[in-house]
Amino acid sequence: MTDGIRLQVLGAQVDVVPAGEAIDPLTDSIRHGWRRCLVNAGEAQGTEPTRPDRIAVHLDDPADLADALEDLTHRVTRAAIASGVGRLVMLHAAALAHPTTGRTAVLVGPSGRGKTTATRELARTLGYVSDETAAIDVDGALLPYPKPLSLLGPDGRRPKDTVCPDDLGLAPTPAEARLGALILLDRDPDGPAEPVLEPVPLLDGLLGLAEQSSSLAALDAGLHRLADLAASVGGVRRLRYREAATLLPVVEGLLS
Amino acid sequence: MSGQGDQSDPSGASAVWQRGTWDDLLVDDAGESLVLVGDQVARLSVLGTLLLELLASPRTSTELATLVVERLGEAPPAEVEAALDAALEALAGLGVVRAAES
Repeated sequence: MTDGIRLQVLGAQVDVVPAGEAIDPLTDSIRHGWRRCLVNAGEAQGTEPTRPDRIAVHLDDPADLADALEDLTHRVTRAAIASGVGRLVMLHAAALAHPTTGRTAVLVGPSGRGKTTATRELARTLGYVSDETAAIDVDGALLPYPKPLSLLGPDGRRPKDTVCPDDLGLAPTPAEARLGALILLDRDPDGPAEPVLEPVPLLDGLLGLAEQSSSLAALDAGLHRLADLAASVGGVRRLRYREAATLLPVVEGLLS
Repeated sequence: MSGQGDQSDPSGASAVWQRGTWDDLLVDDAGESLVLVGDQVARLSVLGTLLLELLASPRTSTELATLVVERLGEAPPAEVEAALDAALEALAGLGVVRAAES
């Protein structure tokens, strides 16, 4: 039992504990935004952790709600990543799954490279696994992180809006997702009008993945594990494109 | 990550070099590699990768120069020395080699 809101993130559980004078709108917003990660009472979620991470979030002034929710997203993400250290390959990436096979495209890139924008386009058709962190176990299974999306307001206004994936019409998160493609995102306003998917030489590809990984050195033979994952999906690919709206046929084709 | 040891004269012909530490090393078919040291990943040239292999035992710069020429082919001695110094300096910067303590 928990006195907070229990979330399942990257296979771990986190208790979010709201407090403050504005606890009601805060609680409602967290429950709504994180609904795909909620652990419902009595719901079987695998092994019960002995002590889930506990994240307190305080809000007195409802006007600060957006700030509180954005900060919470960062903290939950850090807790989720910490839970996978030494166990999971974790990449700064969006992950989208074929709705019937569960084969999942992992779109790797740093902040600002277009992961969330690509997610909003692709997840109209492909299952939403994550727009932030792709966590892959030793067997190639992805642990979902269907967090709310953090979207800049009009004219780049901050704090970002924290938006439930359901409100954006994103396709359901699959029960099982398996690695199907590793793709380095290369969005360029001057890039090709039609997306170009190209193979990347081994070391270049692994370097691109490693630069966007978390705690790779905590894994046993982390580079070799990345190499094994890449080999299992035919190598790393680079996707050069201009507009995310053009990506679906290419990504869908890779997963078919 | 290891320290770099005493490198008061790391490029001198008499300097003895040895391996430092790293978390993983992956070598491709062409002899280049990636090395993982903590949160840092670096790409190593054929020469850098070869030096890590040769330093399975501590060696002097002179010994390394001889072995590098044997493995990679002849080159003017000054070029070999310059390339070796540059490669060792880069590897030491990563902490994957260090000057042996006397």
